[in-house]
Amino acid sequence: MIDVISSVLSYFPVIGLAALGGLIGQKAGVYNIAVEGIMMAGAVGGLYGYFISGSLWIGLLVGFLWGVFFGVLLSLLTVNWRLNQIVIGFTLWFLAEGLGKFLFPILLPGAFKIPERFGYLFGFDHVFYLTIALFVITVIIFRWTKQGLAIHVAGESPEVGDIAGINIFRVRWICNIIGAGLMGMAGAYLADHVLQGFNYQMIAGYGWVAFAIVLFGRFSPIGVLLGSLFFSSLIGIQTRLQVAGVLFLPSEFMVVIPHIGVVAVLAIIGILGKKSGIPSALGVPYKRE
Amino acid sequence: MKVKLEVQRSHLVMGLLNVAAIIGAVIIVVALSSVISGVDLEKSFATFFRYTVGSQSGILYVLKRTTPLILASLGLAIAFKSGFWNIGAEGQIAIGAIATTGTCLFLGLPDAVAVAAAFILAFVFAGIYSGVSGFLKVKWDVNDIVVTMMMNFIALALFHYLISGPWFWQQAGAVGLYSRTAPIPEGMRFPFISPPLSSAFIMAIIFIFIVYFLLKKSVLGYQLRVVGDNPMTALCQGINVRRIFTLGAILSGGLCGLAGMSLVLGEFFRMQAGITGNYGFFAIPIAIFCRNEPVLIPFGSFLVAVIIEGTLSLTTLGMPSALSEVLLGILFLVVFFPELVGWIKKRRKKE
Repeated sequence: MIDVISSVLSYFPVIGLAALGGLIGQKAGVYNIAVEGIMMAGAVGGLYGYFISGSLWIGLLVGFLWGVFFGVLLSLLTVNWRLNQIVIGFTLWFLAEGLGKFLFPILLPGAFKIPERFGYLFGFDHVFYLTIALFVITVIIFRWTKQGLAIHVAGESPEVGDIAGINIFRVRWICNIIGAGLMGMAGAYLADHVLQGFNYQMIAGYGWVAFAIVLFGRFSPIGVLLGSLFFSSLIGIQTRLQVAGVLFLPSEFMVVIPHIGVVAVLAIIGILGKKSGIPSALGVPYKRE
Repeated sequence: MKVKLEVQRSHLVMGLLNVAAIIGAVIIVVALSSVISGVDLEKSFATFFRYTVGSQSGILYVLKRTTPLILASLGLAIAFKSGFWNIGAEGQIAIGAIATTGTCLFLGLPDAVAVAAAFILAFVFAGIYSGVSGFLKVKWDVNDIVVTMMMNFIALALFHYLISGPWFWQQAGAVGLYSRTAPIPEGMRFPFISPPLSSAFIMAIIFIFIVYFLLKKSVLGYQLRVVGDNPMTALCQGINVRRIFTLGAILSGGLCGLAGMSLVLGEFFRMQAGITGNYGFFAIPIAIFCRNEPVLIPFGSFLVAVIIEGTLSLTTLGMPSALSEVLLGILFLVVFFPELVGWIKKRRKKE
């Protein structure tokens, strides 16, 4: 029983970490549309980290650092130079995905495979618990700390925050960097643990699913956690059914079940007219008068 | 009749600055990547040049690639003007290709009628496909970026299902499996201007003028711009925001569908894996860095086509094929170079 659940949830850290990264950045008021690309770059980073050190954790760290690199670029371009966040997001997506695919054949031998996985505890691997822990920490920070309030204010009304003495630029920089770093880590985990190798279509829209989960979870950490659990089990069930050869739809359509789910869920939420919880200053560059 | 083209002067200056910055970036990146992969510098520049603008066949190949890029970017320009973040061009191109192939292969119409029907159906189906996302956005405020992106995956799934399932075709006696459909009959194909460039290119050029008039000279274009700039103003002027926004989304998707039609009837003459070639994704930055100006779009498309074709030629020298994505990524960052210059100037003044 427990291994059925753990295999259904095998994509949870991938989706969860990426969605959490998106949540942290967006909560502070900056869209990060480059998830898909950052995950690809992070995946190559993760494999390279393992290749040079032989440790999966170092792989995860290298993936995180790749994410940080793009977080810095994003902050520089959108927070300081106030360029359009969506346009810059696309640009970074191309750049990150291209860099990942470009560097893979240069840095690593062609058919590079990872022979081991993260250790298991009660049927789930260590990164699974790490992801849950990060969610818990996020809930605590958002709810009960000054820093959480600062993030909230940066996303809702930066002018007010500035008057109250919060450095909006610094809050957004930190949130972008941590957020993008988590996305890179998600990619590294996908490559190191789930697929144990690389292929050019490996991200397959998971980054976009993660982006949608932030909307779906209405910008609350618990909502995002539930959304990640739901969509990662959709992905898990879908892959499991395919491996088992149970196809109630042609395989091409099985693969896109999570994507259809995203459209359906978002449309239903929209039609029901639930409050979206979207931070008021999301996507608006802050300018100090 | 004399037509005076209306392009904002600042946009033109920006455009020229962009082109200069882009050419510089291309030279630097090609040089760097040939050093990394250990290819002779002179050889890689010569190859890049010969396969793009340095020879007649090179130019024809580049123009062939420009055709779908122009159509898709024009479509996106309409959407972006009206404030609709349509990033589903890739899927809409696939839908256009599906509609075209279906009409030409399976309806049994006479040649000329079939082409006309394919034109209309590709436009309508892709238009509806994008219109749904637009309607969801304007009626219920469903996030357009996410929905159009997800629609890409769904459309491509349908595309791959059709070519490997119901529409699969194999030449009698052929060995090996290719996922593809039967070829389109000769009479329905776009005639060649000079192989490999087909007259689909002319269709794209005509559409530049149509979209130019639509956006700059027509009432609908004005309404689209007002809706995009400020929906409240539009409401006060008595514009039906929902209808105009959805109509813009439909037109935008329709043009992307025509890009799919041009790929099927003008280049591949069948549906096969990979014909959408990421054109839908490349079209997004093209539309943006041409500032949604229909007159600038052919130049932007040409530039991107040169880069795709050139980096493709470099893979024959043993460079990784992802080079084009890196190059395009850097390029789209360089596109903001003029804005950065402006920002630095402003900052200096303050100090």
